Amino acid sequence: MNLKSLWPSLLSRVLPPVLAVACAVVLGMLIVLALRLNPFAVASEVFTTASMPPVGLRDDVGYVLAYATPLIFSGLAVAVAFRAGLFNIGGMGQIMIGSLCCGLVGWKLAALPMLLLIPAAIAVAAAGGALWGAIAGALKAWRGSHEVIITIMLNFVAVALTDWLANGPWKDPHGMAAQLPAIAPHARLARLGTYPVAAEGTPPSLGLPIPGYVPVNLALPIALLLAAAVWVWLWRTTAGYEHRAVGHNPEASRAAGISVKRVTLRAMALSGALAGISASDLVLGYKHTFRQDDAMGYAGQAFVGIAVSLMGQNHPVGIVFAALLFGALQHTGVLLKTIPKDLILILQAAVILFVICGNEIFRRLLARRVRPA
Amino acid sequence: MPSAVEMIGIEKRFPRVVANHDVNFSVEEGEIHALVGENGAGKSTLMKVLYGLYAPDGGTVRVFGKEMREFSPAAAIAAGIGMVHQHFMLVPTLTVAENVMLGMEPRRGPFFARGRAETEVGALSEKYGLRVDPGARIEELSVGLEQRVEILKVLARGARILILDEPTAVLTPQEVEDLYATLRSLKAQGKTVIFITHKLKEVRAITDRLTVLRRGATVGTVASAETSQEQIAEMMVGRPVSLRVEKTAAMPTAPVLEVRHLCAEKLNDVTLEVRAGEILGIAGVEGNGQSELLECLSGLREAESGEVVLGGEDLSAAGPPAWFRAGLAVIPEDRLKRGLVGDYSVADNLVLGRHRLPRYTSTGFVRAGARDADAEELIRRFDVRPPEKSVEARSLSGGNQQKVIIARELSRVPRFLLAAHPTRGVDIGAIEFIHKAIVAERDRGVGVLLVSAELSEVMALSDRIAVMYGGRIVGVVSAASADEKSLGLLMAGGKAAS
Repeated sequence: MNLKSLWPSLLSRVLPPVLAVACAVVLGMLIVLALRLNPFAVASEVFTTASMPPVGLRDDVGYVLAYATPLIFSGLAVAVAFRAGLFNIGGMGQIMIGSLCCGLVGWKLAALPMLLLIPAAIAVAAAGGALWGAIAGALKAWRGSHEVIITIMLNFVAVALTDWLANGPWKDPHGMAAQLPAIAPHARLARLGTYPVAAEGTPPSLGLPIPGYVPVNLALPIALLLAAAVWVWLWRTTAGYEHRAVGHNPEASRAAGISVKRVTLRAMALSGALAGISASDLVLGYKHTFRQDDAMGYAGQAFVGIAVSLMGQNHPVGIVFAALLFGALQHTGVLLKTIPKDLILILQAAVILFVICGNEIFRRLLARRVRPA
Repeated sequence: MPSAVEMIGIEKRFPRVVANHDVNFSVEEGEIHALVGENGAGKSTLMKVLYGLYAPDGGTVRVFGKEMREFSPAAAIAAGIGMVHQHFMLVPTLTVAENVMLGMEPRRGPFFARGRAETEVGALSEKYGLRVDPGARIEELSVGLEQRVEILKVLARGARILILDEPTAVLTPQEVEDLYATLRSLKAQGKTVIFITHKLKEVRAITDRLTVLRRGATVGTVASAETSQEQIAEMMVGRPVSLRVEKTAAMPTAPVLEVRHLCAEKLNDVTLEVRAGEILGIAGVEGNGQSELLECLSGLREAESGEVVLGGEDLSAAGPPAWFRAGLAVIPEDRLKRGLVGDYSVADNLVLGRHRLPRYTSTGFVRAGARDADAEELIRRFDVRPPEKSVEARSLSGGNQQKVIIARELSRVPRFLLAAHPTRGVDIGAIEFIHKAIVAERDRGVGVLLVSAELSEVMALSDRIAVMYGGRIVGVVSAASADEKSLGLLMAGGKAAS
């Protein structure tokens, strides 16, 4: 493929989300104006707050990355299902189950050495998420139940199930909340940042110039690796070829001898696994235990993951950038002082709306210009 | 008296494509004029210019002698032009009268005057002999009647020139006759009709004159009655085209496919046999079980009872993979639904279903080199245009999509070929190619089962013809002794003469 033919396709992919963000920014400014405030003053106030000494913007960069990490996982989960023509909105339940599994392994298998314990905890988290996704996949493939309904329902089941387990049989006897005992210290994933003084009980850290209290951790590189793996799987493997074929045209796929049932089951399992691995961030990198209420708040971010996937055009590269943008939006919400933080929710919603509309409008404009007949 | 339509030196360019180049087109008032050409010849572009959907890059358009300065549908409608699109634009939940009056509703105060609308539409349909109940909902109507509503809609807006875009593509033979009657009555009342088509038969049946376009340019305008189908075809394609299928006598050997007492949905005790080296054609009015039979013979539908044996193996309950292993190749009924993944490239479509072969996959990864090399080879051999392996299959013309499917299926080296409507919606040039490919497979010793809605195609290609009616095979005749009349009788449910 030469550069000439690559350029328009790249442009048609990148331009709509960029335009959408621009439109959303304009809308946000109009809202701020409607509150009788100067949008530029608000922006400079946010920037001043963010760049306050002693750490300046370094903790803000860290927070944006920390907020982006779970969004990459859940965005990838949505995208993988979507590429097979399925809509997985059960990321929340899959993260809950994955996190519980992760916390359980980190606690119960503390005897394992670190190099076995961490992979085991992540693998079991993936398996838990995969199982939760596969339930919806199997019901869809063999019973024709709609995956949207099933995954929503399974979200509630997951919340109730984890609440019972973390409050009952596996409850930490010393904990106040519904939570499991802490994971083994050597199961913790290193923070990316630096602690001024490495005190007893602080998690391991990598020493990048980010303050140690920012919870961004090794789950971020894991997420980036997964994004690359998803791309390779979807576009370079025979299974990925079948996966996308079913997503585009299940009838033709079936007629060509592809088992649509198997692809559906596998798609939901993989999607659930990607959501489940989010536990590496929450449990191994951040909270160091499974606490039910924390997990619920965290897993709720899976719904933002739908928007991330949409904005990223269900493509791993797009998802990483969209996750960073939504992460930045969320962090900006923390920094806002003079205006309601709800503005951030409005902006998120506006970005999504503009992406959906913008894509369609731009696609039609392009189609009108290119189509000869 | 000026011509109804005069288009002189029309030029319309799109990025990378010149759709119309120096096109001259003129239609006299009160005639039925055909605009013919292969897909992509520029017919639709030219008509979209006339209807104001596109502004031309050059040239003059005159309607009843008056030059068009503004190009918009509103201006075209004001000048007396109406267009009936190939895909109807009706609101299914509204009534006929409501649809016809949409956008110009008669009112009583702020309210819609339903009674008056129905009276007006009734009078209109009376005047032009377009009989349809003004109070009926669109969703209750047949396709033929929906088309009448579209024509009424155009007439209600005062059209004196009607453009019909491939109006017969969606109609049954009976509905086509009704449409012809409607067009004749419109002509009798002084209306001008422009009829876009690529079917040669109907050009000669209904039109006065015809204009041929090829690759965006005018080839010529001739009187329909004085021009043979072969001459029109040659003008369209640019070279002599054989409308007959040339083949030698079949030399069938042992049976490849045996169907015994097959029962399934819509199928009632079907028994038939396809031998190696012959083409068995299935004739029949659509909806008499052909679709279900095709599904049973490709693993997409399980038999309720009976036997379906391919190459000695009972496959009555097997899925598509087992059928393909046993030697099946399929040209499916609906290309974009069953045959292709429209969003995939031509190269990806050329391996669909064969992508698990060791040639195309190793250790789970796609072997892109082999895929692309074979795609280039197949594109060349089957003359797929444009010869580009990376374009989306959806963007190809119908004929080229069909060539992609045939290229893929024949590279399975089948022993049994199931060909469903192999030339439906395909250009004349490609029809000849596809027919030759099917006959070549037969000569190689493949058993071919052909299902086609066009009786003439079944008669031209087949060695034996089985007639289906009401889910049964009501007769099998040798193609040499078959004639249209006796087959027609069988298709309508009559008993075989012998």
